[in-house]
Amino acid sequence: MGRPERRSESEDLPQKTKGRLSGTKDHLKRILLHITLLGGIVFSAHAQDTAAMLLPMVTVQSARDAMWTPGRTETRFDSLLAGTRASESVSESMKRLATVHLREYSPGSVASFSTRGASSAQNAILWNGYNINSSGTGLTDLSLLQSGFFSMVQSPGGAAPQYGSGAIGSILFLYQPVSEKSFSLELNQRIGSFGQQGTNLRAQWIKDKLLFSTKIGQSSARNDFEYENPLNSDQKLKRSHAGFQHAAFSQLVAYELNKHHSIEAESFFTYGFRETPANTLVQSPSAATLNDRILRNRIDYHFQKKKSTLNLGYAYFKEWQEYQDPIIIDANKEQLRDTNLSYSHIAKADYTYLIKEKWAFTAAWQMRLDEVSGSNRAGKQSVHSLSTGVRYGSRKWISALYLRSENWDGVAQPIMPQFSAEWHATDTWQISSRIGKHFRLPTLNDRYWNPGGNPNLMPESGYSSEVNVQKEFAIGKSARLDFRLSGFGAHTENYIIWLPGNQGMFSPENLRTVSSRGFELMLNYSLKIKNGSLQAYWESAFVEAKVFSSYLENDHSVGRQLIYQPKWKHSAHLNWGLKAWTFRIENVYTGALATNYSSGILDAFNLTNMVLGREMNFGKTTLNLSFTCQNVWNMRYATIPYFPMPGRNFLLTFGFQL
Amino acid sequence: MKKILLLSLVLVALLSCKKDPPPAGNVYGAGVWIVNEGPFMSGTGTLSHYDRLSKIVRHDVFAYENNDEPIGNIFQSITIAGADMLMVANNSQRVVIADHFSMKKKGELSGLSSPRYAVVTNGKAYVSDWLSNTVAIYSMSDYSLIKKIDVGTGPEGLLVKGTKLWVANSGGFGMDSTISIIDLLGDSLFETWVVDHNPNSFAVDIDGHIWVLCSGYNDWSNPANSTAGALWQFQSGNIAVVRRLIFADTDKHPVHLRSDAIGEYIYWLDNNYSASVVRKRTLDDLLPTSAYISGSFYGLGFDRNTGEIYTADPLDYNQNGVIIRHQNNGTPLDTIEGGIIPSNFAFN
Repeated sequence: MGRPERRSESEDLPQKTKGRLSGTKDHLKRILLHITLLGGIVFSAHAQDTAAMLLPMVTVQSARDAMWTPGRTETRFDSLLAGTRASESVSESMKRLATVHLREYSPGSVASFSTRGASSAQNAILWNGYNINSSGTGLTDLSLLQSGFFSMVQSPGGAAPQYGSGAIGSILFLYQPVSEKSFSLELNQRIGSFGQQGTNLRAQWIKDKLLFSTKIGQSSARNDFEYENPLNSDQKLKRSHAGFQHAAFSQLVAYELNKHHSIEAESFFTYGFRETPANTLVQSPSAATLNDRILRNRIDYHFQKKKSTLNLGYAYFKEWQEYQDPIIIDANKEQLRDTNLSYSHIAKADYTYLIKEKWAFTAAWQMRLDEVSGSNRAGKQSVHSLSTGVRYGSRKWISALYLRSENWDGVAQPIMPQFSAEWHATDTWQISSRIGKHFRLPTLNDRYWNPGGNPNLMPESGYSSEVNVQKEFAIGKSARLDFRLSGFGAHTENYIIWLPGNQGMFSPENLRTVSSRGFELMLNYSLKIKNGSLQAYWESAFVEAKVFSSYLENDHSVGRQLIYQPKWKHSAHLNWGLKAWTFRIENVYTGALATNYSSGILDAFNLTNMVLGREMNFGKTTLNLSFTCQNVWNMRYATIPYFPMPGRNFLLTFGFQL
Repeated sequence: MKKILLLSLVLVALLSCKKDPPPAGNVYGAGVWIVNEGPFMSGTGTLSHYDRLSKIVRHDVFAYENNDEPIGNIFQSITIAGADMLMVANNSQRVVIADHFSMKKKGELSGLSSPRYAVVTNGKAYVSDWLSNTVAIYSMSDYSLIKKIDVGTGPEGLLVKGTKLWVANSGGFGMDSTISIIDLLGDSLFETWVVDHNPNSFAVDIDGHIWVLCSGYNDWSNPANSTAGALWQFQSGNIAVVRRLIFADTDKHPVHLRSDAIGEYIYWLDNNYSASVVRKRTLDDLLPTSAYISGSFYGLGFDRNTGEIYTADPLDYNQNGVIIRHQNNGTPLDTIEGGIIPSNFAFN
């Protein structure tokens, strides 16, 4: 479970800046830093030399990401994840956040999410700095990503001037997790109800100037849980054809050329096979399946000197997806087999320079080429972008102005500005604000789906703003309370909606304008007690996201809350650690939501999980054992109508760290 | 006293904000029934009832009268036979039978793979089963399956004329060019006639002739392979072709053939989505060259009691659609709010 952490610079970069590195270990640490702080770590390191470059509310890995958006709030997925939850999917981790609403047909199925009223395609997912949303669908399937592969930071709010198309609702940063040990090995294995099982294995070796990191993961489930027949409430049925098998592999190699230069390369492959369950109103089982194979490669070069940082990178993604349904036979007597193949090439460069103590300048360039092909689509696009930023920082004030210019298939897009500022009233009070424009390019499916693609679509565009207030309270010597309140608003025009067109086929159109506003509240109380600690965490999110206007005649959606966007979500957990034991209660409440602009409502639901864990240390080896009861109250719930989710279920997790 | 008055006003105001509940005594009786398909992947269809006199629309009446039981996914069609109403839920593979005065459920027809339309005659229900390429026959006394008759691919529209049941084989996910004619006396396949691609619906004209509307074939991956729709006119006694009229446009695929009370005119939608209404005088030799009522319609009904034409606009397919009532000359009268994806009607 994630919780926001405020980390000071001394926590982030102690060894690097305080001159503790020496000899071979210097190399190792530098490699780690290069990998960890992909893009701009030098700047962070320089920040150590002056109070002007304080990095508020950031994790180590997101140093560059955060420095150009002062005051951005972030949720870091805490250390408990590493011990007990490395084998769960990113979607499972994300659903515990109040700021994220996740939709899925069943556990392990295609999972999409919304944040601050923005849909999945309007949220950017950055894997070590590269946006991995599919160029075809615009989405990243979070259930195919295993949490143990990443160090994750979720950050609500728009940032399209920094990250380009789609960064409207939030950014999910997926960084390379690192250990400072010269050799580390972590294994996480879980087994549970309905055939759930999963494995995550991470190994890292550091030898002189070389670093190898290998990650292997797999998971599967039958998902044959019991549910109530909606056509006959007296009848209990077992879910069928809802199983899945996922697997993933990643290999990273990093090499430090000298103390200024380093290079790293990573290859990351994911595989998914999923049975596609039927709506429970359908009385015969589905036979449809979905296959995914995704390869992501990247190579990055980093240069750092006292005042300069240069990063060069290239990534290549290949996605293959096939949907099969043997029940659907076409005119040629062949089964439905829809194949989607997409390729992306991304090249980028960014340079950052510390002008004076309080001023910094950055410039970045990116080129992205995307292509899709397959059964029902064929198209390509190119996007070139230039961005630049200037930042001022003092002990009390930090502010940054960022500008981005994009050229989409040869057509220049309007320049997008973003301004953010942060004011430290005292050491414990902080107020920050951000305002900026945002946009999202149509996906290649939107433009080139055959039939129905609309090559004349315009990008969705608009603006967003937010204000954050944060305060830390010290309560006696052993307790602390963190408080954060964020208010936000956003307005997006040319919202893309698929509708049936004149040719009898669905076609996307720039149909609506959507406005959203809301607030997020976080309270985190931590207390040190004898032989342990107590933590109580509360997070609430209120989102009012409405259709503001529409080009569709008689559109009843105008003035109504967006579908599949709950107004309220609350997340709370209580974590009690006593010696080697950990007891945790998590509670997530998701408010009622509309599933259409008629009377379709999904009821609110409240999920409670309980975890009992034990840690055992044997020299350098740590063992974790935990028992989890999920959905303790056996709540009937769904995130999509007539696609039930499991009732009470159990998990046994074993972790090993060396 | 003032407080009581104020409370009463508030109560009245609150009550007036609510949708109209079903009538006391749960008697629906005469009216217009609106079939709302419901959300495609993740929802149930609903049935709305429109009272012509009071102009009150009551939504989701079947669930209301049956403890919130859903009709099922993709509510395709309804048929009224005596006191019975047969509600065909395509994706949920069932036909729900209710008393159409009280809307209380009486039973179900099961064992279907993809039912589309139903007719009732001689105490038996005949259901076109799209995926199994059969017409299933059920007893209306105990709802048991009597037999299934193999027909063409994707059987859809049904019409009873005399002792024959006409079946339009719409091609399912692919293509067919036949209609099957079943002998109701022996419940066996009588004849199969070849027409144009993908026949979908029937109507009877003033001379008792049967009209068959064919959609034509729509090849999305290669539009050059698409074919135009056609209208066929059959003599129904000694079955024989009277006319074959071919549409010009291969981009449009007409559906929902209807006739007026006496069969002087037939009506249809010129496309399966975003369609306009076309009207043809059955005695004329030529096809109309323009729309009778232009629009973006998905459903069409003809009220033989009033001569009015009902069209259904599903808007964005994610909100309540709009039903437009037209005079017989095509002039709009008023609008009625439907459910999600209104597509079919029954008039009683």
